[in-house]
Amino acid sequence: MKSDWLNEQMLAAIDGTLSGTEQRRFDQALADDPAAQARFEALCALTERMRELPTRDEPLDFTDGVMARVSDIRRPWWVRLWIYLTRAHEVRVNLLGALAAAAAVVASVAVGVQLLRQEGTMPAPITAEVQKEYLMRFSYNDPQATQVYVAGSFNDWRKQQIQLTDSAGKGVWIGVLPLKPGIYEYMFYVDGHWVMDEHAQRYKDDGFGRKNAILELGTGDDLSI
Amino acid sequence: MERSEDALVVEAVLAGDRERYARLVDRYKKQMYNLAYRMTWNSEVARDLSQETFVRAYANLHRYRPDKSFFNWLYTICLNLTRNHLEKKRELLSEDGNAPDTWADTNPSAEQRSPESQMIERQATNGLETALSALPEELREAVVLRYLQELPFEAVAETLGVSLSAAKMRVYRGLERLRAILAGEGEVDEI
Repeated sequence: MKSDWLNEQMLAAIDGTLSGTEQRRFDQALADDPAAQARFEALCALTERMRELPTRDEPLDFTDGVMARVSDIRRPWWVRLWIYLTRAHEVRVNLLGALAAAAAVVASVAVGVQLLRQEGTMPAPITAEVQKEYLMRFSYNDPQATQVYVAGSFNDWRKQQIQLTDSAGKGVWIGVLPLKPGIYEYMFYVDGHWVMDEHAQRYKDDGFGRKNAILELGTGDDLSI
Repeated sequence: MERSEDALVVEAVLAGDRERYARLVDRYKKQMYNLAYRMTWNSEVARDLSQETFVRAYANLHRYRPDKSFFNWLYTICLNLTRNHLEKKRELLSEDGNAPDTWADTNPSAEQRSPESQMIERQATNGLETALSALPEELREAVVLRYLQELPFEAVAETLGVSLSAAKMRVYRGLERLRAILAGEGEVDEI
């Protein structure tokens, strides 16, 4: 495919990465094809213009905004355990410390066995701390609707992933979703159309003339929306 | 294997030094913000998408592979968020019966600015931003990454999740389409 070769050579020539031999072959190809020559010159000029486009400055509080949000993120215990087991970390051992630790383990086992004998029960399991999650109940009223979903920043706005159900057949569509603390935006997706939640307490303009409902989790234990 | 400075910072953050994440944000915020802006042409949306990029990256930091480029990983997250945003926007516009992907549609804030400031902005970019916004998303991503974000082709391929030759093809097709739009030829057949 000569055109594929020529196109690729044009990109390399724009970047100035052709070798001497390649450059000579490329120059000859352009000399034989005036249309390609004109196209190449236009593309050179175009890439030059693009590289001269000014960059935009991000908002001054950009980093603070990110750090304020990540401070609310707490990794689940199993992720923290996985990180601990899979990432390199320094372990220092000295002989005296190792002997003391071994003695402590032996003593613990002995005490545990003794307790089991005395009480005849197993000790309570050691439970790791689990990150708090909110059980959110989304509801949407529309007796005419046939399919209702909720989508938002909690699921990358995948519109047909979280379906609400009308189990009573009265047009009250309900779905329950576990969510971690944070601030989320969402909309309902009803029969192929995005619909605002009219009962949300806060909204944010989505830039397209509609409003995403805002859901802020971090206070209260169980909310219904 | 020697780890990159970014990978070492990631290690520190995963070990509990959360504040060091600000270094990564400071290092790459301009690139992420500009990528989101050049895909959406809306500064507020660009801010939200690029900040969300860093939040998602932090939440999934344990999934980052230290042998890969953190920078490219961020780009991939940012592009995915941008694609989701643009998909939602297209659906909203098509529901309203509007043709998507025009400069005014993708830059609603422009309508709120004075005609003079819009004219100045358009003159400053010589219509290039308008033409870029008319490119199909797949081609726009490739062109923006290569010539506005100035990523090498290998990084463009990694970010887009395609082969090197496919990335070059997209960039070339994007450039050719852009040239035709600016020349007033409108949509052209693929070469």
